[in-house]
Amino acid sequence: MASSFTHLHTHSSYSPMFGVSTLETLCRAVHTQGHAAVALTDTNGLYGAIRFLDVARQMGLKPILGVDLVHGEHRAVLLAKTLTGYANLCSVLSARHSDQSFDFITAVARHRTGLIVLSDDRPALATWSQDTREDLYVELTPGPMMHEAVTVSRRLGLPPVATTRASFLQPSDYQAHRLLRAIAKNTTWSRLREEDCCLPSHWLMPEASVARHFPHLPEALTNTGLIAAQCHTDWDFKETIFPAFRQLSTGDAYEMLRAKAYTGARWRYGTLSEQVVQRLNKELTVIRDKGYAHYFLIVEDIVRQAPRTCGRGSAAASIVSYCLGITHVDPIRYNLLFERFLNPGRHDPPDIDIDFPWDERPHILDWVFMRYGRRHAAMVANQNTLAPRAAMREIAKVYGMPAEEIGKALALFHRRADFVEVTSGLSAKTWSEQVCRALRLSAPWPEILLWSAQLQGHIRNLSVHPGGVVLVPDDIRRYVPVEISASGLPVIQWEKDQTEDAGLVKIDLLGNRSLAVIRDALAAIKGNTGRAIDYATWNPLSDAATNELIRRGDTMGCFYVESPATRLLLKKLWGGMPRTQRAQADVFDYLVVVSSIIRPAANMLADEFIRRAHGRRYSSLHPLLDEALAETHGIMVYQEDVMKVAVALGGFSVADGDQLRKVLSKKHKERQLRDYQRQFYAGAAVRGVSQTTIDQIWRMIMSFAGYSFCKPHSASYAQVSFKSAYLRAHYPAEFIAAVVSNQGGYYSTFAYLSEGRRMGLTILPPDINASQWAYTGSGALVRVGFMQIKSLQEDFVRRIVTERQANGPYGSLQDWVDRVQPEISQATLLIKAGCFDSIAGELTRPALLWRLFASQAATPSGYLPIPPEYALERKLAHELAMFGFPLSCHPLDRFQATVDRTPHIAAKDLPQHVGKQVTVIGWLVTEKIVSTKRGEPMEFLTLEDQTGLYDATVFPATYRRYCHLLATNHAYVVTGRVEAQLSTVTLTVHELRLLASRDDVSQCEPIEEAIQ
Amino acid sequence: MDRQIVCFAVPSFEIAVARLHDPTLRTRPLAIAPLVTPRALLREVSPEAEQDGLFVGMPIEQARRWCPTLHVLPSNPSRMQRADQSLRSVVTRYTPVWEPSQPGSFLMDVTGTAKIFGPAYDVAANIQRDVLTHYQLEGTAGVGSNKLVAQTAANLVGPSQLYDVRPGSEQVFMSPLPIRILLGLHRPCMRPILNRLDDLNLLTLGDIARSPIDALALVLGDYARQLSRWAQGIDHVPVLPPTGQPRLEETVVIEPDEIDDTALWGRLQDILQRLCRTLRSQRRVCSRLSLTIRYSDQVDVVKQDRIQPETCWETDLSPLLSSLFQRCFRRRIRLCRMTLCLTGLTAYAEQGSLFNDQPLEHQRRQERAKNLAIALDTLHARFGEQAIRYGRSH
Repeated sequence: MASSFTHLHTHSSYSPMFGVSTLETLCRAVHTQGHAAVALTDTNGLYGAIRFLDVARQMGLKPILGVDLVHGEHRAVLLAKTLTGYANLCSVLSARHSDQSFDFITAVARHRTGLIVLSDDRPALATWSQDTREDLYVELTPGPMMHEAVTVSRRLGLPPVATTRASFLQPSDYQAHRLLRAIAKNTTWSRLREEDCCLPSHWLMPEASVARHFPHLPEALTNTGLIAAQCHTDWDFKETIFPAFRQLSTGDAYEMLRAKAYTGARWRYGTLSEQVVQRLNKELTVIRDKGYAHYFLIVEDIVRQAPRTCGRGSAAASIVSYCLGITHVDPIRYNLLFERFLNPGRHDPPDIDIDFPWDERPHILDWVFMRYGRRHAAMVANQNTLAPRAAMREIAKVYGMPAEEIGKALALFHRRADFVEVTSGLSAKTWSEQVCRALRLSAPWPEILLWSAQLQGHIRNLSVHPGGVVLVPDDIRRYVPVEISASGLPVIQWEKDQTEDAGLVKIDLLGNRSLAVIRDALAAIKGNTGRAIDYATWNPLSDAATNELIRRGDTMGCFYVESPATRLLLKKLWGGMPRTQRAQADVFDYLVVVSSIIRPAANMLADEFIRRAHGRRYSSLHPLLDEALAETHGIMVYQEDVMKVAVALGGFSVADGDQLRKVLSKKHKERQLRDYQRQFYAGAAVRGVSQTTIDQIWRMIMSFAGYSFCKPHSASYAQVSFKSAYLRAHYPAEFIAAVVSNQGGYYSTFAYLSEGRRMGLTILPPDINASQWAYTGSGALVRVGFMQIKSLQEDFVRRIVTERQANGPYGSLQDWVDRVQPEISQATLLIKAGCFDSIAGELTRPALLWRLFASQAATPSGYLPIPPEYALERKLAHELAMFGFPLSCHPLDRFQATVDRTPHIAAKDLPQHVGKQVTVIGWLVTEKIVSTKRGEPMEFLTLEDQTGLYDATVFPATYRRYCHLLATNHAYVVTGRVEAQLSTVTLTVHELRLLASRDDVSQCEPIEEAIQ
Repeated sequence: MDRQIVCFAVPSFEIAVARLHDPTLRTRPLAIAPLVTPRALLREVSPEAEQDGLFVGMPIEQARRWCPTLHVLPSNPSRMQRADQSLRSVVTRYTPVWEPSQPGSFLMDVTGTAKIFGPAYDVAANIQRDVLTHYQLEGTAGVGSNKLVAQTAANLVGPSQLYDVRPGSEQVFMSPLPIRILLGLHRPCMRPILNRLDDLNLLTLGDIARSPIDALALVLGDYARQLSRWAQGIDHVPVLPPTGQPRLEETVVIEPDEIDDTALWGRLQDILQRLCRTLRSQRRVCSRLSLTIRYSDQVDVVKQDRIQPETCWETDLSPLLSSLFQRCFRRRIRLCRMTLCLTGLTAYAEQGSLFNDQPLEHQRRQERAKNLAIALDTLHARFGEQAIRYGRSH
């Protein structure tokens, strides 16, 4: 039965830390109550507006967009009646978040056109009603304040309208609301103030319950229906919104793009072959027809601002991008599919992602905002939600748990991913009790876990997307509400998916550490050797030493191929490849595949790929796939393989295949995916494919819902990998210094320096007359930079270096003190780090400190003693404190006595013990926690001893017993079986204990076994 | 005349007392810690437990994992107090000038008592013997010419052993000892000094004693002379007999720990009511109120305030206590213990003020509250505390 009442004031989980129900549950409940429309009025934002349109329509509801605008003591519900109203809604919200001088009453009054306003704010209503009474209502909500609102309605002569201000679905959800508020207010249950919460009566009352509160004002209910009927519900956000390049017409922009593309093609290729011209023309035609010339010109304009960039993503499949210098991989040479990037059937705008050196990106962003104006550009948001562990942490704080205990509990959950989500088939309560029993977490942890299961996914706040920028032709505040980030940048209220769905075009300008590594290494090479390498024309793909280095998997520090899994894969691929094939196989081509197949979507087939690459015969799941997947030996590796398979087997058009590929990567995709599944099954059946084969192939397609790459992206990145590898092969000192200096690699600084030593480099300690802020490398020497000394200020170091360059090396501590006049704490750090050892003469470090302290005293110093030098252990302790790792020895040297007592073999000898149970000592360098198909956590470890690195696998049963002992930068005694596979050797761990655990076996006590 | 100071101490006193009461605990690893609180830390550990790697401040859960045979006992303050009192009775037999340094540990000035009790080392040995004979507690003893030397000596020996540092040999005795043996350096305010000594690689008391005082003063400031004296075994501080201040105090251990302000405030009001009842029964008033809370991460916070005029009524103290509670309990961490202490106790002045300048309504309210308190005292005395209690309306 249709209802006369409509919910015009509802909050979803997109009301930050206020609304309890998700969009799905809210719309479902509204639909169940028999309503035809519903207004979503989240607090001060349209954070979930685009998703709401989709969800409401799925439920058969007409979606009304609105907001509960709250500022200080004032509040009102604003509902969009027209498209102008929507623009005004965005404007007033932007002003609310961005303008320091925001005045609630004035701002709403200025933007009332196209909006329906409901409020019980008497001063505001009085002011607004003087302008016009049209579309102005007094909001009546059951509760103690309703009587006063009725009085306001009668006094001002404004029509009443009934709302529930629903912040949750059922009265029993009120505690969940209070918990969200307590988290938001950083307080506890008992200290939470009533005024910080809504009322317990603010639930999604059905019409009958609402009506019981308004026997005297039936029009308050009927007015809701009238308002709903007036509001705009036919929303269409399909139109692409993008500015014109330098105010050019579309035709002129195309002509300019064409001219630039051809000029660029001659720069890239010299003479233009027929193939190049054909490809250029084909792409330019699509770009012209889709009206994207402005987009390419603007991206090219941005890329021009930096000498070193890397076009990532599918854009690398475009020859136009290549010729414009946006990307650097030849799409013809590497057979990159343009349709993955752009095709005539694609409705959404193209997506070009550009990497800049990480430290140059802020300047690029500044330039973009300066060039296009802060009113026409904004950053895309990340909507930070309560993820499982964050929810546990915040709820635990509300329960008053000490920080240390929270940290320990979350560390357990970090390692036990299988315990983080409610196990299917169990009630949340049973799950929470079982998990707490297994992890030995006492009360109130079961309660905390129970709540965390309910509150996951609630939006908490906005942050700035790492690189997404949107540009619009006019005021961005007309399209989407804008806030101001902590760094002062305008940021829209939507994350990338809603941004794209709303027709806004996102350009990703991302920071990339490896581009900075390459830049710094090239500069160092020029400084040390005089050899200048031009980044743009530099092509190391045919360099023999580089190719050999990649074949060996010696790629630690090399962009994107340095993880243990990738290095292992490279070793397996090239180590076991028959000699004739090895001679012919192209390292770059295989590197492109390796950097893709290692991603979750395809990595379970990596070993099979290697066997086929080694020549094993295979047959595809269906002959129709033979051609589509020939390049990757019949295995789906790239995102576009989804498209190819859908076209070849399911009879999809290229556009549909691309859309299926795109839908797979979305968060909320179930409904669309069902349609594509039906289409695929029907198409494949028509082609005579058996049901079993279709099932198998569909499962393969579904695996691409996980993290995966497209081939252009892999090719683009593989090129940067190659350049990194070239530097590592030919200029190891400059390379390692740049890797460590730019930080943020896969490994710790210690691990890179350790690798440097294995490469034959000598690592020198920081020195007051030799070090710079960053690490420096030359020949076979790497000098630790001052940056490695914790708490040392960069400005101070710059002063030291500038003074040294201007007036020569420092002769003594006193000379340095006189010239630099340091703060005592900073000078202390330098002395303890050994920076003055080279100019100390007979003085020990303690003696230097004594003289430093004495130099600060008011009275002149007489005789000062020379205490003995620090003992070795103290020096090591200082190194640990200053650098974060021991510099003068291997960390395992500190446990030499225990190591000597422990029977073990050296890491370098592991290959001699294949098939045997051995014990090795190891310093945990890096770890990767993964889940098996059954969802059980396990872990891959990379450890090292003084003789080398080795990889170890901890399977689920062992992992459950020992996961609580694992942490990087700790020493372990590892016992396990040496396994050899595809010419690589790994250790399958059976037992593990901390080396520093004083012979105490109780620390190795398994967690779960104790409670069974 | 050279001073003669004796230090007598029973190591791990609470554990030693617990073992007296239950001899079956003598050979097994034992620790003292709150039992019900899940986040409790060990307060004392026996030598057997120490051998298994346990230490004071270790979380009880971890301790049980490390040492599965560990027996954990809750603290028993009244038993401790009785035991400490018993030791005092032995100590006071030998000298009137004694100072309690911590439960189960005493410093005694026995200068000039040689003719009665013999030399200081005999006194120390006699105390050890008396305590062992009468209470079966093994104590350590140190003898020296000052408190610092005697206490340091006692800390260096095992149960039933005695260390006598002869006058004149103090510097030789102190010289090889690590600087951290000086208890005075463990105060939070001395942390920068300790760090600086560490930086200068001055590791033993001998290193300090050998350093020129002016050079030390340049880097340690005013502390240099004091530290140099300590390093040479010089300490002029006299043994200070305890000066008893009358006080009323009650501690509530919150098991399990709690974060709910209302519940905690209710517990506090119960304590206040009991303390006020005691005050009234003793016909005394208090002029100072102090509240100590302990968070579950073992951080203690103390706040105190003066009460003007002095009082014995809950109605006067409750607002003050509420303010103290709010000032103490600011962190978002559960509480595991609260101690309320009333000090500045004096006799109740029977003669009240002739002219009360409070508003009449306020006076009436006060009067009603006092009458109610007296009525409750009567009921509690007759039917027990649980018979009637304050509630709270929401």
